[in-house]
Amino acid sequence: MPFAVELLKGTKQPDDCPPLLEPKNMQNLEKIRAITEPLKQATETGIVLNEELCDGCSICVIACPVNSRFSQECLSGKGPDLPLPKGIIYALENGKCKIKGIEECRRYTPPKTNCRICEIYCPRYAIEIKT
Amino acid sequence: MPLENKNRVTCTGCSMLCDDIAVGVQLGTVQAVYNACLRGSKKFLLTSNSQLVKAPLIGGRGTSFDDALAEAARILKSAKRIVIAGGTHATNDAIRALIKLAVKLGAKLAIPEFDIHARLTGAVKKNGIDFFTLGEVINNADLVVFWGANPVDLAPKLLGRAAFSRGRYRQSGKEVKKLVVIDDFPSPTMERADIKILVDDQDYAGILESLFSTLSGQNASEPATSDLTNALENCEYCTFFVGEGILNKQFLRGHPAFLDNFLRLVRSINDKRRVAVLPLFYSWNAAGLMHELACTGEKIDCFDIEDLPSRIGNGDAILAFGFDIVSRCAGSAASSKDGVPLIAVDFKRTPTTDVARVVLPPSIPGIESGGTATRLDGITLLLHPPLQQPDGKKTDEDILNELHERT
Repeated sequence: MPFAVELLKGTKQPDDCPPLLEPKNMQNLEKIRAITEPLKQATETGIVLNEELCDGCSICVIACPVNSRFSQECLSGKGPDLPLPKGIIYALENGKCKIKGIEECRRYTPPKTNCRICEIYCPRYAIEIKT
Repeated sequence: MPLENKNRVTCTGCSMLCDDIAVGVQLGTVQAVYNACLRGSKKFLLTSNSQLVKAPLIGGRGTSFDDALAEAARILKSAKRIVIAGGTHATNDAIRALIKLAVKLGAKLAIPEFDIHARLTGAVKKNGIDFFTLGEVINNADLVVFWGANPVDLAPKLLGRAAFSRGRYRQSGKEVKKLVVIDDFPSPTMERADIKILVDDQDYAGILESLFSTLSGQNASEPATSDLTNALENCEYCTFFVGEGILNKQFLRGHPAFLDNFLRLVRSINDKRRVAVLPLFYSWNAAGLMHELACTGEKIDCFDIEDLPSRIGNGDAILAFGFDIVSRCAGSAASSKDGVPLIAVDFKRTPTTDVARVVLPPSIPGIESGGTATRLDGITLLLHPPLQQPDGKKTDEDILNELHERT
């Protein structure tokens, strides 16, 4: 179980488990590699942002409670002024959403809540949380 | 060379006129855009793009502004009748110059979506309209209804500002704001709505009737509208955004009383709680054009741009002002070859500028030149251009004023 948690957090890879490397477990190794492959694109919060689907509607920028905490503009539905305040997670750049920093994300900082507001409200399904 | 950042620039991508845009400028062009949606960003990034018309053209060949204006004036003076097409993609100042020119030349105005504007204006004159500013929607609205409107495609940042913002009296944001979408297809806006009403647009009138009778206590609510009726009965502030699903010619011709009935419903709900209606249009300054036309004391013949091919003939001339009429009305492309000269005032390369006899490229409003524009809620905003006007370029207002002097 602890190894599974480390896999999901991205601190370990499937190939780090010696029993999995035995020939009799090759099929299981391939399955676990397939499951954990998308996590390589995820940030430590598990957030995967598909830029091709994003159209810059800025709902994630406004709905994110952490963004609103660090930027007063986000409270009233606007984007943050430059330079970006420290702590901002999402911001629009050239029409697409970018992840600017995860240090203050509620999924990252203790007590690591299962906040999924950005994923729930994105109308284009461009944000996916893998864990 | 590092980018020079400029905050609080106003975007002219759509009728939202977002004024929270920041741009990174280098060597007189915009290299990066922040806080703008894809649609707005594309417009800002035009400055570093080959799609811009760099210099005035006569017959596709580069020339000076003086020669191009002289040729345009000659065409306008010798035309039997003149049609000026467009006007919704310009600042209020340029629109006033456009009206002045139209009056002097006795020109008709072919306006995009004019049919809809005229019907809406007629319904408003008869029934009144209850309006909110966007600020009131953000601070007060606890029920936001999009009817025939798909802001995720039309005005991408509207949904975030209206339904997700944490206003003064709605500080929990979306947790206390209900989102309702009524449409005839499963739009992206409907994906995340709390109440989704997916019906054929022919059933919109039925929904209205059902709301009327339920809210006035005559009948119990029907299943299709019960959630919406409950939401309307329990809200404090409601905003209806109506879009092209209702504000289109086909629908309104088939249901001529719909707008009157809709505004009367809003009026009746306003007896008990605050309700407002905001129309959503595609063009970034359609509201400004309608306002200026309403305020002018002049009589100008206006018609819908869709009717242009049937209203133009030999000996006439067309002035396409910030509008790609060739893409919109294919007939006018043919007329250009049949001896109806086309003058285009546009900063970007389009099928219209490709076939126009004279092209007069203005500086880009809101990016290279300033002025004012009217947002979808009727508020007039000052544009803060992040770039200086390029040397040798004129604003669209200057071009129209010069044509006024030369004709």
